Amino acid sequence: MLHFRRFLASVHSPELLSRFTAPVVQTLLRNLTRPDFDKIAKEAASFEKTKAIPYRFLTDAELNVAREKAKRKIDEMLQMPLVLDPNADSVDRIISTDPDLESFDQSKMVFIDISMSAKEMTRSVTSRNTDGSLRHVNLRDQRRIINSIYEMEGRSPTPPPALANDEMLSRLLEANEHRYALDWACVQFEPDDPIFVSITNKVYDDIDKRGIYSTLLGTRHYGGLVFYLTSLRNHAKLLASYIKDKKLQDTVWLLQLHATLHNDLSEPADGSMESLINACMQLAELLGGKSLDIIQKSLERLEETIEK
Amino acid sequence: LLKSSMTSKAAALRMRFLMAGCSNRKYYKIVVARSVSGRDVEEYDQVGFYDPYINDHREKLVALNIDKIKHWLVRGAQPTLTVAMLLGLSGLLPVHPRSYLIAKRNREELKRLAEENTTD
Repeated sequence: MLHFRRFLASVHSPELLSRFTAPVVQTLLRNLTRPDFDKIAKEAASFEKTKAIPYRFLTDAELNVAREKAKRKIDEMLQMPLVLDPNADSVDRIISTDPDLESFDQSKMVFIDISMSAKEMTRSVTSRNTDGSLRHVNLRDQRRIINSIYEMEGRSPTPPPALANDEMLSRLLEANEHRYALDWACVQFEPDDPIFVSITNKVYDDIDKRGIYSTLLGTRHYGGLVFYLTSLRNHAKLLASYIKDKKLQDTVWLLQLHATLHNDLSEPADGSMESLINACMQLAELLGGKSLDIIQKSLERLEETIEK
Repeated sequence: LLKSSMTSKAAALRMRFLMAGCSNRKYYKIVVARSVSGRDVEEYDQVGFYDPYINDHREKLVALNIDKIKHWLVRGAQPTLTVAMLLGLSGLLPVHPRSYLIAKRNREELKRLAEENTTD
């Protein structure tokens, strides 16, 4: 079972994953996200029924309260989906065995506790198997069964084909619906669901392959994207795109993120361009291979523009 | 002080099935009612459901509101045979003797069918 888990979690070490929630990392990811209030507000508006925009006269104090309220709402909408080790638990733990009950029925019976006191996703789901044993149902089936009985807004009882199927997901990505796919995945799956991890990884890979980081910029998924690439040491292209667009503050943040996660880079010491370029070169050498070329080229172009 | 139905003069309190759905697709709600009330009357409480059809994942689903079932058992609700069997299979109550009997009969039937197939 350890081997199976490692296969699915092969992209990350659990130790790196646990750093996602560190305040330093979260701050950097949040900064890099560059919250775009219009992008978020547009999304929020599209879900609400069209209604007339209210105009109000407010005192300064009331205005501050309204601003605080808006800020809190935006923070909520920018919550990054958790990056966790995919829990591929597929073992039904035995509670008791009873060989005299073997073949009591054609199929196993699954019992779900629908008490009010039970917490949503951790409700006890047990099964009496045809061999007579009483077992705790494995996590995957437990969630499937709970989802089929308890409705959650936006979550369908069975995983939608567009997310469960590689081919269908590719079609979504070809149509540049990365954000849509990720939003849907967030609603449908728990963060440690192997399917969720696989979908997010595929979406991030596609974005990195095509270099279209702006599709997620300003949304809640950007932090996850950057963390994924940086922790896998695949962030050369991202860094190059920052340099190309002269997003120097973002470059610094990305370097700081790498330093925090991998402990093998000394951050740019001062705010000067020279130290920034040095740090980028140091990172390029650390990453090596194609990444080295990508970053070097982008730095060359930067230096050309500076000379001009 | 809880007033058990044993001391009251009312009809027996039962935990039983209420048939719902339609003819070709029945399902059962596990319900607490007096024995004299109609079969499809949910007099006091619904404490679960039982779907007799096997689903796509080869399971039969049974939902049990454990809190409520415990409450009504304490209040003196007598489960009917099938409900008692379900509660036994779920582990809440001891396994009903009839479950063992049915299991034994099924095993014998399967054995008989297996022998018939080998002789054919």
